[in-house]
Amino acid sequence: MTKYLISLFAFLCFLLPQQVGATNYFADFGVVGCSGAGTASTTSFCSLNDFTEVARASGDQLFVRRGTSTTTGMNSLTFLSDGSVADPIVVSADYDNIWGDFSTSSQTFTLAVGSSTMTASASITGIAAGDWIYVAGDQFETPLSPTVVDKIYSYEVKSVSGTELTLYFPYNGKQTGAGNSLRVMPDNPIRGLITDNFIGVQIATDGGWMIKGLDLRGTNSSGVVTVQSSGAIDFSDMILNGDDASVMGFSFIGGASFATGASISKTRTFKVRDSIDIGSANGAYVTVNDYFADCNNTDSINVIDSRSAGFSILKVNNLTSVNCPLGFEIGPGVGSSIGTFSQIYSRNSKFGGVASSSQVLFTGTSPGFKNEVYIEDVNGYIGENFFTSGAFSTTSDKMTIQKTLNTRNASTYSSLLVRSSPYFSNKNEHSMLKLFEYPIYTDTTSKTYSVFFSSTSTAGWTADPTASEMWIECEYWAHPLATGTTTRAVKRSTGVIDFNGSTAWQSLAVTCQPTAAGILYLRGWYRKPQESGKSNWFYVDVTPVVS
Amino acid sequence: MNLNTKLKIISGVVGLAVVAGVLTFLPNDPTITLTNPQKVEWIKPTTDAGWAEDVKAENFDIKSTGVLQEMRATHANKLQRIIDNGKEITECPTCIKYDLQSANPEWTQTDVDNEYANQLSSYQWNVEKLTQSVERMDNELRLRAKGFVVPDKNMEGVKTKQTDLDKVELQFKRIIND
Repeated sequence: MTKYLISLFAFLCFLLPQQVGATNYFADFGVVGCSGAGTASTTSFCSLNDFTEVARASGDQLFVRRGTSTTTGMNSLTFLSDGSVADPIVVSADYDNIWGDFSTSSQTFTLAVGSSTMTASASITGIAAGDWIYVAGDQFETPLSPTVVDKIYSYEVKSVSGTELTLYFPYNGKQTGAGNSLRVMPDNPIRGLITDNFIGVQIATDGGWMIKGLDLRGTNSSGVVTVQSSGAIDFSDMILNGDDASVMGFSFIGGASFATGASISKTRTFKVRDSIDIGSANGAYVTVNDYFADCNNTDSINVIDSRSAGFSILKVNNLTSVNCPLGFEIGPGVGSSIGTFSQIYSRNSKFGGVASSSQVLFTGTSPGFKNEVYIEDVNGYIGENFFTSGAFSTTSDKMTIQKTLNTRNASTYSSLLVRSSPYFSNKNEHSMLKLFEYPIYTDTTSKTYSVFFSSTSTAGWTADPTASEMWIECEYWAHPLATGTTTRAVKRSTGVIDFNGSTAWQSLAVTCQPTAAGILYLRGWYRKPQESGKSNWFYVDVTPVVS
Repeated sequence: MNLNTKLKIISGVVGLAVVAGVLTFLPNDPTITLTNPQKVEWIKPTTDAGWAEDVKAENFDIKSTGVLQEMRATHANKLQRIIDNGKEITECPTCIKYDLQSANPEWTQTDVDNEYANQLSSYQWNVEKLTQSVERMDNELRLRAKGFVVPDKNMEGVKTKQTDLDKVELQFKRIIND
């Protein structure tokens, strides 16, 4: 009796309750006849349209059989309903072995977190490029109650050779060492051909959708995927294939009334013109984590195109590109007016195949307001950090600030190299360059904060920057009137650096004494317009001295 | 009944106050040939039995009443939002085309015109399809309210009494799956 109850309990655990109000649907592109109701795997829809183009409730899910493709009778896939942020409407490949298509590897594998290769115990059989795998124990299959929850440890196989299996992305699961079995899943379901002139997924004024594990193909110039005026759109485990000439990968567009908000993770593109285009009419916020772009060495292809007529923010972590002529392209666009706001934040991006002069490309004949790129740890080098802005430069790859190994002393890891610009100005805040900003916890004692600078060459300067053209400042708690009414003050340094007379490290200093313990911000600013015929370059020691 | 009567391409709505103004704004069919223009083709039912069968095309028969009411509200709100924000598409094509050209300076005039036509087609389809869906939901809710169709349970999973279900023909029982 006890064994029966335990077995019953274990069985019931697999019947995970669905979100109330949500219905699961099923699609199998291999179904002939297309007459299924879609509410069971045995009566599957034959297309995605059957699900996305009728009214759905928040939380409704469509699971698509792997290893199938639909390439006839295609059109741009549109969406009718809105899900919600907490409970999106889902279109997902099968991660739960609903149709019994999965298998377990014949070999066991040695693996390590952060590595893209797995080594098998013997020559690999039963696994091919295009298959998807997950390491046993990382996630679980519930075919009677399929779900996308916690299905984040699947990886596409890039290649198999002998005992070596290579993934597109580094393994980031929970297992380590040897003796690991893999669950092998067929290819992502495929929709369309690369010669089809339609948009694979066209989301417009549709919020709250999750698209997971599809292989979309097409050649429409608008993009394989377009997202316009839609928020809370999530893509993961996606593959986008283009025609090598005219089609973009992901195209994000804001609208007259609504901005666009989306996320992309563990996704790759192949032979698309701009892998991610965030050109926006009126606002887009996109985050990208784990992205692989292969541009197939086609001319004039950007990995990221951020030319914007409006407002856009793009955050990119762990991007790898191969065979791509260009990296990031930013700017207002040829003929566009000043007034754009496009910011890219990039961590751990690797630009393979990008010409050294085109890692960041500026487009346009006028400096773009607030078109900025912040790059950390680029091309696999820890600490290789850059900042540049279309407000200060229209020359490709002219990084306004970048890391340099020219340091003040052995204890300093790196310094900043600052390149001047004719667009700096002492007239308004928009034309000032912030060199650094450090939050420092302080008590109420008086302290002097010093930062060291050095010119790259005395010949690079006619006149030294004045105190109003280069300074450091501390912002701190000051003049408390009563608890809760404390105000903050900003105090600037008043000294100057002798750049045209010496290349020695010299300091600016400011002394501040807060009236209350708390965070003090130490900042550095520069706004001297570049002198004609002079470089006006200098170094900044990133380690402030507090005394 | 001839083909023209049977096939009705919906370009407006009768009977739904929320979309009363839509007829004013919908333009003539676009003159540019599109690759896949989408249109809603629908033989609107005229009887309760017809509606009871028709709503199954969007799986409204398997939705519990509470969920259906929520869906009706969200889809009606979306329809109104699309109409309100889509006025520029129908009332100022040159505005849309100007924005398209500015955002895509490399596009030809044909590219711009085609993209505008695509946006117009998308707007029209959204309005027409949402209108159809809301009308179907309204009718399913109406049929449940009058007892013509009976769901076998509500959103909380509380089952309808078997004796009440016995009074309903099998084809009018709703087997809820949400």
